[in-house]
Amino acid sequence: MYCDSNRLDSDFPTNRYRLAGVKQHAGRVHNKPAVAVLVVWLVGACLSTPVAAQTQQPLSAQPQKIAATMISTEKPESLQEAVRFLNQASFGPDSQTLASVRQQGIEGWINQQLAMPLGPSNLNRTVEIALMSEPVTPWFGSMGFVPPRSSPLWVYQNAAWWEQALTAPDQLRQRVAFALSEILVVSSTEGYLNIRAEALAAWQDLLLQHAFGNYRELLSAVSYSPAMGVFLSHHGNRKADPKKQTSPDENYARELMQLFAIGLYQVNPDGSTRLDSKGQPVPVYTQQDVMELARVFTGWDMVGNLYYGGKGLNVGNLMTPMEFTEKFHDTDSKTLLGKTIPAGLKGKDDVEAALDILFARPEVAPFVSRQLIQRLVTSNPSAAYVKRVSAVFDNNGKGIKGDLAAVVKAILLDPEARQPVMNPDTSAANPPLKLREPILAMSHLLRTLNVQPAAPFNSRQNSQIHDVYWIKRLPIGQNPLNSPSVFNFFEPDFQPVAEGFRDTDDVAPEAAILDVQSLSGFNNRIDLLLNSRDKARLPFQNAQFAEQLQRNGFNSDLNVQIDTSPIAQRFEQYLEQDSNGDFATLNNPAFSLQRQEAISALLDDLQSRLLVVPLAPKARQVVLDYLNGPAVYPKNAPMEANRLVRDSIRLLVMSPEYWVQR
Amino acid sequence: MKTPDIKVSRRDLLKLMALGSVSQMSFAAPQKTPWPKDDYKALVCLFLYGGNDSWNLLIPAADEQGAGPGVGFGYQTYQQRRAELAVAAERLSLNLQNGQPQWSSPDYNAYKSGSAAESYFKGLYELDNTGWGINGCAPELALLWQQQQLAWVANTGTLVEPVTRETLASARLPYFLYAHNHQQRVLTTANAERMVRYGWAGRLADVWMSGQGGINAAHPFGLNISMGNNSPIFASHQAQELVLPPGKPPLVVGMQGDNKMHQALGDAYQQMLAVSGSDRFRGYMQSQQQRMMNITSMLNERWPQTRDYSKITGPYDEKLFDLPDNRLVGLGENLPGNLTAQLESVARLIEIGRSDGLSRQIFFVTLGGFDTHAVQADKHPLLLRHLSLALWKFQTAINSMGIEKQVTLFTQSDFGRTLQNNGSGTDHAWGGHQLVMGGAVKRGVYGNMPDLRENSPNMVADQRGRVIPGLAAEQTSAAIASWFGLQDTDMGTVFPGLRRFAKDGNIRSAWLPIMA
Repeated sequence: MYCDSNRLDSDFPTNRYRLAGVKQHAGRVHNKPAVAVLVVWLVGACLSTPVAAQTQQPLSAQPQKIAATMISTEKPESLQEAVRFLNQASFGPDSQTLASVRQQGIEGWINQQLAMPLGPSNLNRTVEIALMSEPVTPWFGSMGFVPPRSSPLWVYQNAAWWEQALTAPDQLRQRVAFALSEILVVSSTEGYLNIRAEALAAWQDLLLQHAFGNYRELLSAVSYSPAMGVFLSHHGNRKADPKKQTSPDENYARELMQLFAIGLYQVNPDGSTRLDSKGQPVPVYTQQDVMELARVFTGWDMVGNLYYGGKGLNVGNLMTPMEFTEKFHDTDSKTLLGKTIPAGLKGKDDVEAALDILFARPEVAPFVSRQLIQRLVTSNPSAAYVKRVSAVFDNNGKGIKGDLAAVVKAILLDPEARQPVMNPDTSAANPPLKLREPILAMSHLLRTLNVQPAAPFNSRQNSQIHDVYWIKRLPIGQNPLNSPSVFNFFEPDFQPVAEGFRDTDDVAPEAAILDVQSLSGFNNRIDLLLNSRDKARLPFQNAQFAEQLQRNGFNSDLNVQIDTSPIAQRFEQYLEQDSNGDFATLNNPAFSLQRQEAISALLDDLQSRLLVVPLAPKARQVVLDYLNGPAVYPKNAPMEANRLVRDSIRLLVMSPEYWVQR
Repeated sequence: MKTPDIKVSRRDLLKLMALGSVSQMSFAAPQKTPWPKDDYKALVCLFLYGGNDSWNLLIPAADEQGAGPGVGFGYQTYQQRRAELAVAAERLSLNLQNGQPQWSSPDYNAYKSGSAAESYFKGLYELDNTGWGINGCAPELALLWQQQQLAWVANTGTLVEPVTRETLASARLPYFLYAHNHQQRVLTTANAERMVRYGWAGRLADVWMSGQGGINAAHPFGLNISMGNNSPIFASHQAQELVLPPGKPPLVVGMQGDNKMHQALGDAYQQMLAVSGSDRFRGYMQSQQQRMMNITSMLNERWPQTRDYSKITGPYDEKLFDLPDNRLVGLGENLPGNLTAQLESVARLIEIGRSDGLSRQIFFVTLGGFDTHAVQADKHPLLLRHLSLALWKFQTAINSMGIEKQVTLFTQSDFGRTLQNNGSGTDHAWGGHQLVMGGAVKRGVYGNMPDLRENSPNMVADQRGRVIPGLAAEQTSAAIASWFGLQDTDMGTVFPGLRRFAKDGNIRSAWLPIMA
C-alpha cells in the first residue's frame, strides 16, 4: 500500500519518506527511471493500483494525464485537488493546511474555517512591531501613533499583514479579506494613510471581521471607516455653503455606487448587462444621484479631530469609526435612485437609509458575486455560475441577503470551481482558470518553503526586532493595501492583447500587472530568498554573511527565513535512501543513474506542491537536462544538492504554469 | 506586396461585454497602409491620471472689464467661481536674459519658497496677449511657451458630437461622464460613443501592420511602449505593447550577467519557456516571461551606451534627469510620482530606437494623483511643479539631440474638475485644458475661452461648474497623428468619431492646425 492519502499525515516528508521506499524498491533495477516520477504524481491521485503495475510505464508516459484522469472527487481530497483548492481558498498550500484539507475534505475544511472565531487583530500586531522597532518614546496612545517616527508606520503594518497572510490558521478568512480589499479599495498611496498606517491596520481588521459577515453591514462599516473617509475624502465633508460657493464632496458617493455596491449598468441575475429597447445598457444611477448621495455623507470626521476635516499627524483617531457632527450635515431630504430619504435625518439614520436603498438594488448580488468569483476562482465564470452564486447572495436559504459566508461557500463548492483539473490542452466550456496575482504567487512560494520569521536584527533605534516577518513593499507589481487607485491593481474586465483572447470576450484581469517589471522583480526576490534567506544554506555561509544580514536586516524589503532542508532531505532520500545530509553519492560518477532518478523525483516532488498541472513534458525534459548537467560544486556535494534544489524551485516558480491558477 | 488578411470581429472593435447594440454596426477591417519609413518621429502621450484641475494650470487672465473679453470670459468670473481655490492675478516674470532663464533670480523664484499653497496661489505667467496665464508653479512651461515649443488646447474633452447646454438633453454624450475609468477609456480608445476594445494608438499600429510583419515588428520594442503600466491606448489587434519600468530595467538576477552559472540557468530557463504550454493563460505568461528575458538583456547592454545627460543642469542646479528633493524645491514635500524617470527612459529609448533604424515610436507615460477632491491647495501645486519640471527636462534632452522637430508630446487627463470647490478640493467634471509640446508645434492657445458663469451655455446645468468641452480630444490627437504620418484615409479607422467635427465633409477641417 503505497498510496494512503487516508492517512492523517500532518507532515509531508513522512509521506515522501514512504514514497522513497517505493523508489528504493524499484530503484534497484536502475533502468526504470519513470517509477519515481509516476509515483510522486500518483500519490496525489490516490491510486490503489499496485506500484508494480505502474513500473512498466515508459518514461514518456505523461504523468500529468494520468493524474488528471484519475483525480478523485471523493473525500479525502487528493494532493492535486487539495493544492488546487488551496490556491483558490488560502494564501497557499503549506503542509499543515494541505493535510487538514485532505483529512477533512474540501467542504469539511470550509465549514471548519467558517466556524473559526476571528483571530488576532492586525492593529495589535502592528502596534507590537512598531513598539519593538521604536521603543525609545512611548509613541502609541489612545489616538494612535504620534511623531516622532523613525519610519512611516506602513512598514510595520505591512509586516503585520504578511505575517497574518503567511501564518494565520484562518486562511479562508484571510484570503476572503484580501479579495474584499480588492473590491472595497483603500490604499496607502494616499500619503496620510501611509504615514498613519494604524488606519490601514484597523481597515484590515474591519475586512477580517466582516469577511464572513453580511455585505450590508460591511458597507456600513466601510462608510464610517476613517481609512475610507481619508481615502475617498468624505471625512470632513460639509454641506453646501452658498457664501463660500462650496458643495459637498462627491468622491465617496460616486465610488460607493460604481465600485462597492451596484456598478454602472443594470444587470441580470447572471451578471449580464440589461439592454433597453434600443439595445443600449441602462445606467443604474445618474450624476444627480451622485450629488444627492454626496449630501448624505456630510458631517462625518475622525473622532477627536481638532479641526473638522483637517489631517493633522497627531490628532484624530483612525482606529475607531468616524463620528458625526450635526452642524456640517445636510439635513434636507434626498432623492436617491428614485427613492426619497426624508428630511431631518441625522447621523447614521441618514447613511443607513441611503445604504438600504443601494443594497435593495438587484445589481448588488451579481456585481459583488462575480468579482468575488474572479478573485478566488476564475476570470471568466459562466453566466450560470454567477447566477447560482448571486442567488445565494440574494438569499442564503434563510431569507437573508448578503451573507458572505454562504456566498464564499457557494463560490468554492460550485461544480464549476470543483470540476476536474483540466489538462492545458483540454478544452472545457468554462474551466476555472485565472492568472495569479504577484502577492499570491509570493505567499504560495513562501508557505511552501516553510517561511519563518527573520533572524533577530536591530532597528534604527538599535532595539532588537525578533519573530517578525519583515516584508516591506516588494518590486513585484503589487503590494497589500497599496493599489494605485480605487480601481484596484487591475480592473475586472481587462483583456490582454494575446493569442487566445483576441476575438473573444474573455478577460484576464491579473495580466494587467504581470509584465517585465513585476516578473523580473519577482525573480529577483526569489533569487534573494533562495540565496540569502534559506536556513538550509547557513552551513555554506560564513560568519561575515550572518553579520551582514544582521546589519542589513532593517533595510531589507524581504527579511524572512525559509527552510529548504525538508526538500533536501527528501532529495537525499530519493538519492540514497537516507537523510544524513552527506549526499555521499551525488557527485560520484558511479552513481550517475541514481542521481538522474533522484533529480527526476525531486522535480516532480516540487511540482506537486508548486504546480497544479505539471510542466509540459518537453519543458520538464529541458529542466531535467539542465539539472543533469555537470555539477557546479563537484567537490561539495551538500552545496551541489542545495543548488539543484534552488534551481529546480526557481525554474518551476518562474515557469508559465506556476502563474496559472486552475 | 500581399496584404495579410486579418480578421477583425465586430466584437473586437466594439468591445464591452454587454453592449449588445454594437452588432448592428458594421465595421470594416482596418485598411492596411505602408508605414512611413523616410524619417524618424516619436509621439509621447502623457496621461494625467485622476482628472487634472487644469482650470488652475491654464488660467483666464484677462481683465473682463472695459475693453476686455466681456463678463464671464475673464479673470473676475474665474476668481468668483473658484472662490478659495482662485489663483491670484499677480503677474509673474520669467526674467529671461538673452532668452535664457536666470534660474537663481529672485523674481523667478516665486515657486521656490514658502508652502505649496503659497506657491500655488501666488500668481501667473501671462501668455502674451492670449488672455490666458500659466500657474506660477509651472515656470518651465511658461519658458517653453517663450521658446515656441508649447501650445495649449483650451476647454477640450470627451465628446461624441458638438454639444451645448441647450442640446445636452438631446445630444449623444460620452458614456458614463465623470467616471474615471470610463473617461480614461473614452480618451485612450478615441471613442466616446461606445466602449470599445482597442486603443487609438493600437489601431494606428494595426493600420501599419502590413508587410514584413508590420512596423517595428522585428524589433523588441515594437511600435508602442508604455512606461510603468499597460494602457488601453495601446490595446491592439496585432501589435502587443511593451510595458517597461521607468529607469534602466534591473537584470534578471541569477539568470543574466557575466556569471557562467547564471547564464547556464538563464539558458535553461529560456529553453524551457520556448517549449512551454500552449493554452492561452500559459501562453500569455510565456510571452511575458520571454519578453522579460529578452528586453532586460538588451537594455542592460544598450542603456549605458546612451547619452550622458549629467553635464546639463536644471533649475536647482540638479543633473538633468534628477528629480530635486524637498530640500531643494522647498514646497514642504517631495514631488510625487516618477514622471521624470519615465521621460528619461523615453529619451533613451528614442535614442536606441533611432540608432536601430526605427522610423516611428509611440510612448505612453503617466503622472497620477490628480484626483484632488481634498486638500487640493497642498497637493495640486506639487503635481504641477513636477509636471512643469519634467516636461522641461524632457524637451531639453530632445533639443540636445537635435530632434526637437521630430518628437511631440501631448497630455490627456480623465476630465477637468468642477470650478466650484467642495470646501477642500474639487470634484469630477468634464472640459479642461491640455498641452502639446515640441519643436513641430505651432505655438498658440487653440479653442475658445468658455463663459464660466453658472448659467452660461458652456456649463452643465448644475451649480458645480462643470464646463462643457468646446473641442473633442480627437481634434488634437488627429492633428498629431496626421503629423506622425497617418494618412487621411486611415483617420476614420483610428478616430471613428472625428468626422462629426469636420466641416463640409473635409476630414482635415476636423483637426486643429496645431502642427507645423
